Order: sequence, then C-alpha cells, then structure tokens
Amino acid sequence: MKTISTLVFFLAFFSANLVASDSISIDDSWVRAAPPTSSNTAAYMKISNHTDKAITLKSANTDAAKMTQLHLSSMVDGLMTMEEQKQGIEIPANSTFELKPASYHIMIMGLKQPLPQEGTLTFELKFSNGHTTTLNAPIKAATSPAHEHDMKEKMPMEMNKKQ
Amino acid sequence: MSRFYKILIPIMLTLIAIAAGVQYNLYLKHQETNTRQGRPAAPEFTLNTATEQAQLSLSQFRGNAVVIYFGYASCPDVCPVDLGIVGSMLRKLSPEQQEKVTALFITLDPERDTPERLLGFSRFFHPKIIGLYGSPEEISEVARSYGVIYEKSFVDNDPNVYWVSHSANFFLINPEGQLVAALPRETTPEQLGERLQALIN
Repeated sequence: MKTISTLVFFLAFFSANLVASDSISIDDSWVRAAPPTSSNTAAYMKISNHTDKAITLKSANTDAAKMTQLHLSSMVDGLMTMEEQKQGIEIPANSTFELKPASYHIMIMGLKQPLPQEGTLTFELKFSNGHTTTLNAPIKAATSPAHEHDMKEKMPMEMNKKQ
Repeated sequence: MSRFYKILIPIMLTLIAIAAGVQYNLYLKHQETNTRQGRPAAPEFTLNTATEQAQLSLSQFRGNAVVIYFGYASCPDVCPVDLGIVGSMLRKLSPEQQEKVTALFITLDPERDTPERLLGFSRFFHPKIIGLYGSPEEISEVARSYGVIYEKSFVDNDPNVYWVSHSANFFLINPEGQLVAALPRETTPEQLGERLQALIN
C-alpha cells in the first residue's frame, strides 16, 4: 500500500512537472478558429507565475505563421486599437494573468496554411527568467464570446472552493 | 342583489377594463410614434455585396430591423468577438424573426478586403451576415455619415502590413429606416437580440 501511494505521489509530482515547470504554468490555452480566407488569428491562455518575482512573457513563436507578436487590444479615445507589447507581458508575482479576447493576446500574422477548424497549434513561449515552454494550444471556435468569457471567470472560483 | 345585476356588473367591469386597455395601448402607440418621429433617418448608402457582387442599398431593407457593424477581415482579435456576438444573436432568433432582421458588416479596409476575403470572414460567423465593400472613397463617406472613425497603424513601417484601429459599435436601424441606437461592443448577444426583436414586434 505504501509503495503504491509513493508511486502515485511521484507520478502526480512528475506529470505536473511535465506541464508546469516550477516557476510558470499555463492553463486553458486556445487559438481562435479562423475562416480559411483569413491569414491572421490570435491565441489566449492563463499564465500563472508561482514565484515571488514578476516574470515577463517575452515571446511566443509558432512555425505555423510568418510572424507572432504580443499585443494588447484596448479602447483608446473611442477607437479599438491594437498595440504591440514590445517589452513583453508581465505576469506579477504569485498570480495568474489571463490573455483573453479584446485584451492581451498573442497575435498570429500570416498563417502559412489555412487554419484547420480543429487540432492544435504549437508555440514556444520564452520568459524573462530564462524559462521556455512548448505549448500545444487547441484550435476552438468561440461561438458565444460573452458566455465563454463568463464561464472562464467563474471556473477558478469554483475550483478554489473545492480546495 | 337581483340576478340581473349579478350578471351585469362583471360584464360592465370587463368592458371598462377592455376600454382602459385599448386607451392605454393607443396612448403607448402615440408616444412611440412621437419619439420615432424625432429620430434621424439612418444615412443611406449603396455598396457592393461580397455575396453576389451586386449593389445593395440600405433602403432595400425597409421593413426589417438592421444591425450594422464596421470592421475589417484581417482583424484578428476584436472584430471576431463582435461579429461572434452578431452571429450568436442570429442563432438565437426563430426563423421568422431571422427573416425580419438584417445584419451588415461594412469593411473599413477596402484596399485589402477582396469580395472573397470579406465573404469568407462574414459567413464564418453566420451565413446571414452580409459583407459590404466599396471604393476607399465610398467607404470613407459611409463611415463619416455614421460617425465611424478609423485609421491604419502600420507594423514596422511596412506599407502593406497594417492594422485598422476603428470605432466598434452596433448600429441599430428600425423598420422605418431610422437610426435608433449605437450600442457599445460590450453588448451581449441576448441584449442585441432583445433590442432587435423590440424593433420588429
């Protein structure tokens, strides 16, 4: 019995480590499904910083597109504007930061092939602390953005309650 | 009380209630007409449809409630959310209601949005969304008449790589062809649907 529980513990420990390194973990990543005529889309995710210091996402590259940039969409003087975040996107210490529609996102420009309606896109994320993660983000159609957003907001709260 | 009154009183009360109801409805209608009379006519335009590559004028949709969104097909983040709201709203309508609602997507990027790209983009969110394009001058004129502001922001000073910053509103036009609202992009599909249904009922 003891052997089994030790084994389970180690399995759990190492499998968690496969997804998350000690400093950074990524959840709920997705790429916006795009029509075959589109060559641009965006990727979103929740990035958790498990350290006591702020860590910056410096880049997110994919072989599927000519260029990727870290962007912020925001309303400026009544105009919806996108701005490249050349300094990166900072994830504050011990917190989770969400890249989400009409806010911070990974801009995917010049898809080399039309995006399939399902499957995944592989990204390499680089962080200021030297950490690098390979991420397979599923391609999803956001049928009801408002609803999806609400659900995402509620989920972590429910999860916290269970703990 | 005699039997006669027992019957007469409920009948009288019912008649009074009906009369009051009719009066109240007439009053509401009158008020509605008054407010609607004060509303500006939605600026008329004629643009090309991405679907049939034919010309289409706003006035052709008189009798329908119309929602207009201005954006561009290579928009990666914001327009997909906003057109997603329009698509989601259309899916919630009954087939009869869908017949009475028109959704227009007008490009603010006439140089790059070919009919094919525009069609692919607008159809992706709902087959009923009609993509519209025109010459840069025509688009500029329509945008100006609706108070829509837009400007290119170039990436790395490359003249071919740019985003379009733009106003993002849902313009609502009633079946009489009057501009009744410019809703913010935070509007939910449910709210948009309610507003449009109120216009066609």
